Amino acid sequence: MKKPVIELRDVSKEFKMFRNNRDRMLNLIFRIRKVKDVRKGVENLNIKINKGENVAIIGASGAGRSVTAKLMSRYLYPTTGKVYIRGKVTALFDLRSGFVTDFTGRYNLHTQASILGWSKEEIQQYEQEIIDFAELEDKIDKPLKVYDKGEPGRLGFAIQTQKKPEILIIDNPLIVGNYKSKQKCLGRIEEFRDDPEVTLVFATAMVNLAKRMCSRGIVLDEGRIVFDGYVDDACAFYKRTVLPKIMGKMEASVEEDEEDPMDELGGDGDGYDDVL
Amino acid sequence: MFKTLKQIIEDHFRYMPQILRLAKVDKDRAFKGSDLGWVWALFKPAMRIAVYYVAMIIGFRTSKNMPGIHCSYFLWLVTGLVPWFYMSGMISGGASCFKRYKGMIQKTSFPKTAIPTIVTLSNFRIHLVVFAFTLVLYPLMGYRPTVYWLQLPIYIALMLVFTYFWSLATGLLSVVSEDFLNVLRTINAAVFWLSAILFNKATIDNPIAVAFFRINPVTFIVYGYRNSLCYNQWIFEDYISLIYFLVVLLIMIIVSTKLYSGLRKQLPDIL
Repeated sequence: MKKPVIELRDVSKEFKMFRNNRDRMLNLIFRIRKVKDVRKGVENLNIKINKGENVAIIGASGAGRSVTAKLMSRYLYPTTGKVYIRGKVTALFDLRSGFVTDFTGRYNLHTQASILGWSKEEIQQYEQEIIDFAELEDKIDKPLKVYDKGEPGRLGFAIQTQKKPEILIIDNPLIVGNYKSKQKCLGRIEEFRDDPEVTLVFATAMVNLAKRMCSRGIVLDEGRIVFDGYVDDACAFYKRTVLPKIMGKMEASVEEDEEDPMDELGGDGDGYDDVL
Repeated sequence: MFKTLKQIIEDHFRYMPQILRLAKVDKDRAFKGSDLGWVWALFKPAMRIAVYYVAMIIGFRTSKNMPGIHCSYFLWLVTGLVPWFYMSGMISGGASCFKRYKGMIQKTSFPKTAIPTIVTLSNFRIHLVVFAFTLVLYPLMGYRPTVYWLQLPIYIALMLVFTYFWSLATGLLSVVSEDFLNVLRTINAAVFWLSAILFNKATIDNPIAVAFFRINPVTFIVYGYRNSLCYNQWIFEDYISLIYFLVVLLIMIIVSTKLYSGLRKQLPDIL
């Protein structure tokens, strides 16, 4: 039996808070304890994700969604427990990482592709496809600072998703641009979702998006897993149990509508919404 | 320590093309928007050299005839100032490397050990251009290259290795404490005057000063360049200075690798 590609065993993450930098230095270097407070990110997570699975990590703001996604991407290290990642991770956290706004889109494309480990030949091979996907043919040789809002993110998305990933981790719907661009971006993620060679982890608070993109849902509340099962059941649990708690005595107003989940991302097709 | 060193070497081998690219971007960004661009990289040190030369000759009335050197005072001065410009840039610039690239640490899988190298190589590019001009000055002013020039790559390599581990150690400490970074910026000027760059260390007989010159890595590198270009002295002829430098370098490597292994997992949290 093959091992899961992502495995979290009894993983907890705590963030130490200090009164000031001096106390932090004393604690980190000389191990003199001057911790003011400890904030729990996540607690006792046990997750196994197999190859080809599509998993939504659902939770409200502060539930530990992003922390979980970053632990899986190895951007954060657990305080206790072990994280096993058996594959190459492509994490879409910052679509504009490495971008310098004074330089042209093409220059930034080359830089970000370099950071991702592409060879010069690969950059040349994929360059035009990326520009076509991002629909920036007329702007690619202009500095990023003249781009419309959402366009740099679109370029970053095109670069980071050009090559088929082994493990794709997305924190919040990093879908940028106008309605048409958003559909295009989601369409690409759906291609990965349908590929049995790709494992998808989607950290989001948008239940309709979670249902569209994933087949399994893990619900987090206050850093703990409270549900792990089919995504429909997970979303129903989230709306029934977690959301009301968060919103107090108000009824959860998230509707189970049949419309395109793209609507949740805002924008009426005319505006450029940079949803990060 | 050895595990960390092994990781550093592996990361550099694996990510060298990216490191070189980012070093280029780092320096391109410094000159972006400027019409003169790279010319500033030469103009700024040239101005400083001119000011120091005038101050030393006219203000301090330093003798142009320095015993033991096989070049003019002007070339002696330039040869010492050129590596200092690089090293002074790295004293505080290297220390802020993790802060400058915190986005990469927080949101990409780019190895943290490679970040000091980006800053090191970025500043080194400028240094190479300025140093190339210095080497061209020698024949132009009537001093032919000698066989001692062949040892320059050794001093350059030692300088790069030292500044890398310096950046790794001070970069980590600067993330934890802003005060530490401010201290480094403050001592930059002190290091300049205590490194025997503007005066000949051989003329100083104060035992404390002599001891300080011995353990000061900046003095070793500056006089390494001067030994190669001005004094016609091999590196092994001043083996005591070499031993002191290597001991200081070893201490720097131990401190930086210990700090890194202790702080690397907490770096994203702190940033």
